[in-house]
Amino acid sequence: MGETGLFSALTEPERAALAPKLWALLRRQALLFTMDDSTSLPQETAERLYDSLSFTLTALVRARPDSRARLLREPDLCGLLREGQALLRERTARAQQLYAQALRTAPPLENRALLDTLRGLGRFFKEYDSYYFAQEIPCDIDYPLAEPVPASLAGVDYLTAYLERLLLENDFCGRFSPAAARGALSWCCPDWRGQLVNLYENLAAPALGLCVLGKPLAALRLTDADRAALLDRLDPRAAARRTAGELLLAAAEEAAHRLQLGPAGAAYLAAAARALAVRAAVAARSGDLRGAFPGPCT
Amino acid sequence: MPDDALFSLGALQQAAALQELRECSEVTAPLGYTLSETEVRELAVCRTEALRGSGRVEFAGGVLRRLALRLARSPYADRGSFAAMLADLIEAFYFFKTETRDLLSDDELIELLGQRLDEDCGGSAEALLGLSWQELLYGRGED
Repeated sequence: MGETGLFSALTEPERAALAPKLWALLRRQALLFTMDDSTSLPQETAERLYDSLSFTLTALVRARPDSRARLLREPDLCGLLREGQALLRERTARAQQLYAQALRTAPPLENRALLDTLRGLGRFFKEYDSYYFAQEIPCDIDYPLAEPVPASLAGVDYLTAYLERLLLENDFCGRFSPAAARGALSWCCPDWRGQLVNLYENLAAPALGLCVLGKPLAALRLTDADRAALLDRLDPRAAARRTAGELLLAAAEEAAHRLQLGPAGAAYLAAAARALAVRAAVAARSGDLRGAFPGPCT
Repeated sequence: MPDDALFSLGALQQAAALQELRECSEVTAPLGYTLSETEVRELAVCRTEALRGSGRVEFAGGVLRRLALRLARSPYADRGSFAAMLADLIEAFYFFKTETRDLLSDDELIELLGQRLDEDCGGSAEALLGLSWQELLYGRGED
């Protein structure tokens, strides 16, 4: 764990003051880990234990800024570590609630990666070790989100962010009939059930396209005529026209209103619209929007 | 903290290792084995090298004293080469801690090393390093 960890917000003298206390804490943790049977550890294990301490104390300092001064003031860090571990246990409990919600709200769409990931996430709660290895994520998370979780997050924080985003995606996908959703997905990827594809963005694209055209969203179906009309709207040569980004962001706002999405869902859809706008602008230059707005050939 | 700082903090352990080795000498003296200050310093360096070579970090003292005491009990221990034998034993200890994937406690490993030293290696602590982990656990010539 490098400078983005515990030490990133400290001055050089503060780091020098903290280092021996961190070492003492690591020593204590290592001896607890080995149950006093060993006085040494492999370097890799020592680094993992250290990263866990850093992650836990950083989580505490970020959640409770007054504890930053205590890091430097208190003679040892055991009390702060216990508070940090308690904080992580609270976060784990919340993540477990989010997970239960994700299982309940999963759209009835048979994507293998989504189903396997949902099942596999349960292992996190059995194996997550907030005491020794709090920064680790003991499960496989293969299903790709439309908005990936930042790699700077770790441990239960990563999982929580993943679940929060997945819930937003579940909610959006669940606003459409399974038949319409399956149809839209099959136009973007015939083997959407077996491939590692994100369902949300492949439903958001036709929904946003239909919104640009002022058409109903329910069928999630863009015809060739629809794409021609979209191409006309996205034509960059028309100086008075709005950019792809402006059009799609406005469409996202309209779609969020029509689908009655909450603020977080609306923001997530706006982010998807920004990503789609890049693809749409590129596709528009080639005169064929099928790559950005898949649909049946009509 | 940059990664290498974690292990430069291990230098704090160097002073502790020197002190422990001096204390060892006091404990083994009644058995006829003492360590000069030069030997103490060389052994502390040897320990640091052994840790680095085996990819390990030491968090507490006590191992050096226990190794010295076990060596002092060996029928092959020799006053003239006690420091050299202890150096080899220290290297073997950390080597096998890693080879056996930390599945043996410090005490278990120290006792096994002592047994192999006396029963299979003819008192050669250097020869301990030539053992496989299976030979360490089960002795030579056994399945």
